[in-house]
Order: sequence, then structure tokens, then C-alpha cells
Amino acid sequence: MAKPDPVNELLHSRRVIVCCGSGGVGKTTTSAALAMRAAMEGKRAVVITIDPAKRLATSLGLKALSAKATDLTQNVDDVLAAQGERPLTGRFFAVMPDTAQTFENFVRTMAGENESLARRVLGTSIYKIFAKEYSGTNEYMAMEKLYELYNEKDYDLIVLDTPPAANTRTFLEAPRMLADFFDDRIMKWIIAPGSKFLASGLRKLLEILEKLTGHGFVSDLIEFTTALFELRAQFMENLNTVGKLLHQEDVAFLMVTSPERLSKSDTQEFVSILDERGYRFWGFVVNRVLGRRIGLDTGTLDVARWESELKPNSAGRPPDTLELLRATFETLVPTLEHEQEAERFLATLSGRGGKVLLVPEQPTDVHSVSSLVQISRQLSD
Amino acid sequence: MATTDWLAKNLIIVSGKGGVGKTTLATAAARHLASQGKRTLLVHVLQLGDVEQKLEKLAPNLSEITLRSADCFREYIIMKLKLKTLYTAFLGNKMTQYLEKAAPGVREIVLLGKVWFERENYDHVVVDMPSTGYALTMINTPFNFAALFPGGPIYNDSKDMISTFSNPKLTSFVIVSLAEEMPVQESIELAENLKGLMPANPSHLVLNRMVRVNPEARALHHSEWRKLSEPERASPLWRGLDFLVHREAKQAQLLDQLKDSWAPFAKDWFEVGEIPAHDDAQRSTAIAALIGGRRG
Repeated sequence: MAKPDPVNELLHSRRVIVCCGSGGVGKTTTSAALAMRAAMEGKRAVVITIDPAKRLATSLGLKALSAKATDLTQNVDDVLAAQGERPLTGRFFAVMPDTAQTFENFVRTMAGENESLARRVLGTSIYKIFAKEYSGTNEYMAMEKLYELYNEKDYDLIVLDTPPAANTRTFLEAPRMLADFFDDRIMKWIIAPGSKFLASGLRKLLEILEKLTGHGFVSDLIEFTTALFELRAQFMENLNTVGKLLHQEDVAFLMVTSPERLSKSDTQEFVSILDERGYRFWGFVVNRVLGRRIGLDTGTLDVARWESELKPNSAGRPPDTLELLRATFETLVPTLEHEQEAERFLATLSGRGGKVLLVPEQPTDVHSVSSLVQISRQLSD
Repeated sequence: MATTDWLAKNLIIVSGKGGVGKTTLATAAARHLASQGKRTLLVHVLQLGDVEQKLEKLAPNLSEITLRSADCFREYIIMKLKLKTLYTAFLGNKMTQYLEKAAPGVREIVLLGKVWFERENYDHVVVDMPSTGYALTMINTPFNFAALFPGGPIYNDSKDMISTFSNPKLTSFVIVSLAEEMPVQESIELAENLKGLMPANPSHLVLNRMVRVNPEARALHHSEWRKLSEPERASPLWRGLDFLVHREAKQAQLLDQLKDSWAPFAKDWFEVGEIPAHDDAQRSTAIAALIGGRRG
């Protein structure tokens, strides 16, 4: 029986959880902890992480994760056994798609029988840079992988750790950015420079570009764009299918943040974009909450009261004990005040049934299976 | 042995993991240089977003600008091809935006190019770069373009950028980190990648927000924590001290390991203590004073 707990309710009622958030807030950690918690709840759970820095692999004590789902149940069970706990009742998997490899596979799959088309796309010098560095590629790959695993129906729950980005909404904007890229009108202009209908402005643009880049680059670009254009229909269809998947009832979006990194405008935009587009917002996971770590559960900062409460207990302590404690605590006050302000803001924003989970600041860095296990347990409201 | 050698360069490029205080440190460095009478430009490069590009006076000798790639692109074309009228006539904003998307690296090269061109107009240009991954993508761009293009202005400028970035007399790369495992790991990876591109100009490291516990308070924790009663241990006052003492010990351990792992890049790093402040403006002012103190 599941405990009546919002996190367990989430893990039992959804098939996909999408974790969004800006960089440096512990998004990867939260995603892994959620999947691990689901495995504790008896689910076959997988976390997809697209993180060039391989943070999750490091956290799990591995050199790297592969593009194929790796079963890490035993790694977790070993830690649980060492703590005298029962093993997982479910299973815990992790996947890290290799963007360059996935993109190549994607081009090949889309080109289908047309192998020469695939070769043409993959053969241009621009391709290599595009696959590696085109913004939006990682987001697209994340969606592709999600779609693939969802259709395999091998897992009860998929947790998607969205790619590192400056803004929370990046992931939500990526499909639109990619669709823009294939904007028919402009693309047709670019790939048809010989056409007599071609606007003279375009021809001029290409001439300018040729002047800047030296001879050869522009023809490469046209070649690449033309080849990619042939894949367009399939690509747009995929994008639509994934878009539909993300709108399903069994998909939950949550935002991972930390008091220190919380940007009010970014958060507000994220919530309203979800709302506008009909995605299901579940709530916020707030990492590294110092107040939670030091037992400030009531939410008030009352140093004077704590001092007077301690006084009768401090008879045997060195004479300047209370003074030193107070002075030390004062250095934490700006952080704590900022944190409480952030909590109030999130509570207001999630007013209509959204959850706010506060995860305590950890005593050590989260870089081991045992600390991930700990965080899995701390996910509660 | 905290050095701030990285300040004495024409181009100071600041990056690091998200949330470590890059903007605060870059602003502090720029404020300090300007206060020494050096004409300084503080440049913010965003990974995403579209803001108005406007040069603003921040303090005497100090200007600040947030770059917009469309503006940089336009400036570049006008400068290179003397095409002002043509540009306005034919290249609308939409077309530029499309080109940015269609041709990978265009956005990055024009942003980096702008930074690089501005260095001649100031004693110091301090660049507040995006975080690790995208910063590396940007710095890779001139290398990619130098290899990709057969010739032309972008090829030539890419070559020149590479030579400026590779010269430790002209450029410094500053990686800001917290003294915590993950950010340090990411910083070392960034430093390795940058060293691969520019072997002659290894990165500098700044450890921000270091925990420093008053030694008397630390001694108090050491002698009393084990003897505390239950109610004492539950008090946020004791738990606050306990948290800081643990954090500091963990940090000391990390610094010990860092001596070896940072050795391939430099013999030391610069440390900035946690500054109890309510906003980043207060923090950067305090750090500027700290940098000044170290140098003076």
C-alpha cells in the first residue's frame, strides 16, 4: 500500500514526469531521486538524462552511462543492504542518449530506404557542427528518447531530466524553435537560389554570406539545408507526435529550483506557458533548503527566543557559548530570509493545487548512490 | 597565495557552472579595474534571450553592455562589407534570425567577435560568459570556422581571435566555482577543454562563497557537540553552527584534493569568502574591495 503522500501519488498516477529547471539547481539529482523513489514503490522506473557533464554517472559512481538503459537496481540494493534496509521492490534504470549518435540514427531512420539522402546529410561538413552545437538538438533528442521508451512500454514510469539550459522554458520552446527552423517559406528560398522567383534580397544575402565565409561554404549550407528539407515532413510528424504525448493526462511537468537560483520572472513564465499550452503542471521541487537542514520548520527566524530557550540548558557550557552561537547564526540570516521569501513566492504561484516540495540542504555533496537514496526519501511536502 | 594575475589582461573571460556567481565576480573585477582608473567594459553574454543592446555608464571609467546577436551581426556585416544601405534594404531582422538558426555557430561567432573587437577600445574588457557548456561551444566556434571555411573575413577573424585567446599576455580565462565537488569537477573539465584549445594559456580559478567559521565557534562545536542535550541539539542555533562546521570540513578536504587536480593549470587559485548580503550588487561591491585589498 502506498502512503498518502503527494510524491507517491505522483509516482503511482503518471507514466512520465518531465523535470524542467535552469542550470545548477539539482535537476539531474531530483530526476534520479524520483525514479529511485518510484523503484522503492515497486515501479520499473527509468531516468533519461541528457547531460554532457555526466553528472548522474558520477553520482552513481559510474564512469559513464550508455544510450541503452542500464539496470542499476543492484547498485541501489547494495547501498540499502549496507543500511540494513530491504532491497528495491521495483527496478531502477538510467539512460544517457549520446546526442551525436542519436542524431545520426535519427537522420538514417528518417531517410529510410533513401540511403544516399542520409549520406548526403551526414557527409556535409556543416553536419558535424550542427549535430554538436545547434541549440535545440539536445531538446529534440530528449523528446525522441522519451517517445522511444514510452512506446517500448517496458517501464511503469519515465523521468526525463531535460537538457541543461539557461532558462526553465527552453525545453518548452524547443519544438517551436525547431519548427521555425523548417519554416517552409524561408527554407524554400534558401534551397532554391537558382529559382527565378527567388527574391533578389535572398540572392544578395547569399552573396554577402559567401563574401564573409569564403568560397564553398554557402554551397555546403545549401546542400545541407536541401537534404534536411527532404526529411522535414517526417521530422515535423515526429515533433507533433511527441507534442501530443506531452499533453497526455499521465504526463506531469515539474520545476526544479533552489532558493538561491530562483528567478521570479523565469518561474512565472514557465507556469504560464504550461497553462497556455495545456500541459499538466504538478509543482515545484525546491532543492538545497537550508532552513530544512537546520530544523527551521516553523518558518520564523526568532534568534532571541531560541537564545532564551537555550539559556537554562547552557549552564555547563563555556561562558561565551550563546554569544558565539548567535554571531554564527547571524551569518546565515540573509540566506534564510531570502529562502523564506522564495518559499512564499512559490506557494502563491502554485496556489491552485500545485505542490511545493522542500528538500533540505545536504550535509555533503550529492555524489553517491547513498546520498541519492537519502534524497529519494526526503522528497515530501 | 591567492593571485589575481588574471586581472592585468586586456580581455578577461569569466565562466563557470550555473549559479556559482559568474556575474557577481565579473562585475566585481570590472568595478575594481575601473576604480584603478582603467577604462573598462563589462560585457554580458546571454545563452538565450533577446534584450536591447545598449551601452550604459555604470561608474566612472566603467561601461556595461548586454549583447544581442542580431545587433552584433548587423554591426559585423556593416563593418566588414560597408553595406549599410544594402543591409537595411535587404536583411530584415527575420532573415538574420533565420540565418542564426540555419547556420550553426553564426550566433556564437558574432557575439565572440564583438567582444574581441571591443578589446581595442578599452584597457580591459571583462566578459560575463554563459555557463560552462555554452561558453565552451562559443570558444570552440572560431576553431570550427577556421577549419570549416576556406577563406574570407570570418576565416581571417577566427584565426586572429584564436591567436588573441591563446596569448596569456592578452587574455585570461577565469573559471568561477564553489568549493563543492560537482562545481569543482565541472571547472576542471572546462579547464581541460580550454587547455586543449589553447595550450599556452591555461585557465585561472576563483573559488567563490567559501565557508569560513569563526575559529572560536569551531572550537566550541568541537568541545561541546557530543555533550549536548536533546533540546540543545534541536535548537537552530546549534544546528546552524553544526551545518557550517561540516561544510567547512568538507571544503577543507576538497581543497586538499584540488592541490593535485588543479596543478596542471596553475599553482594556485583565488578565494572569496561567503559574503552575508541580501543582493548581488552588495556582494560584487564587497568582492571588488576584496580584490583591491589583495592587490594593494
